[in-house]
Amino acid sequence: MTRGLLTAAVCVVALGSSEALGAQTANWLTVGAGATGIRLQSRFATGASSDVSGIAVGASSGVEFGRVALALGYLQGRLNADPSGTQQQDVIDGYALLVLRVAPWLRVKGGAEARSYVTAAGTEHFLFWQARLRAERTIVNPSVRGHIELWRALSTEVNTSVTVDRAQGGEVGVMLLRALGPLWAQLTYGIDDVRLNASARRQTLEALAFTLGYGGR
Amino acid sequence: MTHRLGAWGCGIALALALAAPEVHAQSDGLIERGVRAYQDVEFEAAATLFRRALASALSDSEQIQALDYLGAAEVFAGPQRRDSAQAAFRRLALFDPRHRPDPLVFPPQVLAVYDDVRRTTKGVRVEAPPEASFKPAVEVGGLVVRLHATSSHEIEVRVVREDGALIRTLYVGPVSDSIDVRWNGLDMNDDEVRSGRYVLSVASRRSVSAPVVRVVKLPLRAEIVVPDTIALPTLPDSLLLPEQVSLGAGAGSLATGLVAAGAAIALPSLVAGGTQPSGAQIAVAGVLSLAGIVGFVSEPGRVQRRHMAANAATRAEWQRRAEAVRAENARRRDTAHLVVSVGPATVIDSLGGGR
Repeated sequence: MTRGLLTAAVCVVALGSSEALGAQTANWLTVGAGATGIRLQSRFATGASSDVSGIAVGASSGVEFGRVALALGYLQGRLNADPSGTQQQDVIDGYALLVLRVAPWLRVKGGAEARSYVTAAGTEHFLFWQARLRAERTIVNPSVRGHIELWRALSTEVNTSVTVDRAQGGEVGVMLLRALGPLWAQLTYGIDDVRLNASARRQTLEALAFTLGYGGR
Repeated sequence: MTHRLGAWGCGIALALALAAPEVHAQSDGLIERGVRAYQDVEFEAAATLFRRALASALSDSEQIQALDYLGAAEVFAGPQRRDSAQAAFRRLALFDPRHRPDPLVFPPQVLAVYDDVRRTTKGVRVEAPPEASFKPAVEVGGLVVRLHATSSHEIEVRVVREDGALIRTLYVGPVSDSIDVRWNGLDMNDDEVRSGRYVLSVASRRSVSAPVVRVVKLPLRAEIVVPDTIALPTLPDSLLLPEQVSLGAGAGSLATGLVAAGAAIALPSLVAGGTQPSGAQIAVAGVLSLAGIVGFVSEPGRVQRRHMAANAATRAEWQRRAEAVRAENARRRDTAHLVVSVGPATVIDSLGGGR
């Protein structure tokens, strides 16, 4: 199952890349793929905690229609077991966001992000309905841009009995573009914080991602 | 007569308004009565009627008709009236040198007197357009004046100033029937004349060495019309961007990079306070800081290059517009022309007598 999803993601990225390369002038379409270092910390009110990390690969794509855009992304990776007893688990994350450019430097996003933690014992699904705010600005004209993005879940659905008190996160990144022709590269650091069961459980996911993309921007 | 009754019927004002046509109507009547008197062999009465008609305002054809009949009536009035006949025919010859009394109306005796008078009368009729516009010194164009001579004689055509100073001699020589004389707006030195009042003078002589017997003067008003030229466009400094850029131009880049780096460092505590971040944000913060520093250093040079390129484009555009204005001004200067208005001719006659 997991392998199948990964294969599908790679195919999507490859297909998107080939279409973009063929179009050459398709600056309304952007695709990217990259690797992400993930660290997941879980802490419980009982004092127990776990801290696991791993590597994930993913792909993203965006289609822009004037001031409106659609952003899609998929990521899948494996978190290693740790000595505290946490089992090896897969993490799968995907999102679909509608983006509105309200100013040249400001974008408002809204949509859903689904995340699954898959262990031998079972799978825990989260679906965050979230709102995002992204500000970006050129640092070195015209090839380097920086951005800050914050998000908060408006509602969260979980397939288990846990309740979600709050989910929020943020991302800071730097992008190199134009210097590489139609290619762009991006380095981002993101962190999500989810509090569950009246703060009896807390999950923090950190991600350091490097993405190489084509088109758009 | 019907007109007169109608005019009285419509009141004094209307009668005054119709005064000019009334004169014609009266002269028409005089000429008709004169012709009837001539045909009734009442030459004295006819001459009197034609003289009265000529004293009133007549059209050219009426004047010619009246002079034809007046001269003929004087011829038949007797030898003692021969001078009067000659005077009438001389006036007719000078008025329209191309005219000859109709041989179907007037007998050879009258035509002989007329021909003799015309042959001995030395003068020209001057025909000129009311206005001529031309570029001075150009081979074609100019003010063209047609001179009709009563008979073969010598003429001298000159353009003089109002005070009589010679501007240019246009023609000196014989004229038998007619001749066109052209003035191209130049003076004796082939320089363009200035705007002002001039006189075109045609002096008639019986022969080269004979005294002037008649001078026709045509007042000319010359005006040089030069189209306005366009002012050259200026290039104010305010349109040019500064080409010396201080390091401050990169301050924005540095600030953006540092703020973003600070945000990366602060992000874990902002969204997930109380956690122990991995330190990965430091890497991103470092890249952002480095980008800010690179921007701080490179931005002034980039701004300078951009300003220089923009200024070069601005100067090129200004140069292009200036060249276009220069070309347009040259074209306009080249279209400068002389407008010559021609006034009514005046005649100084009988300087040397009729014969």
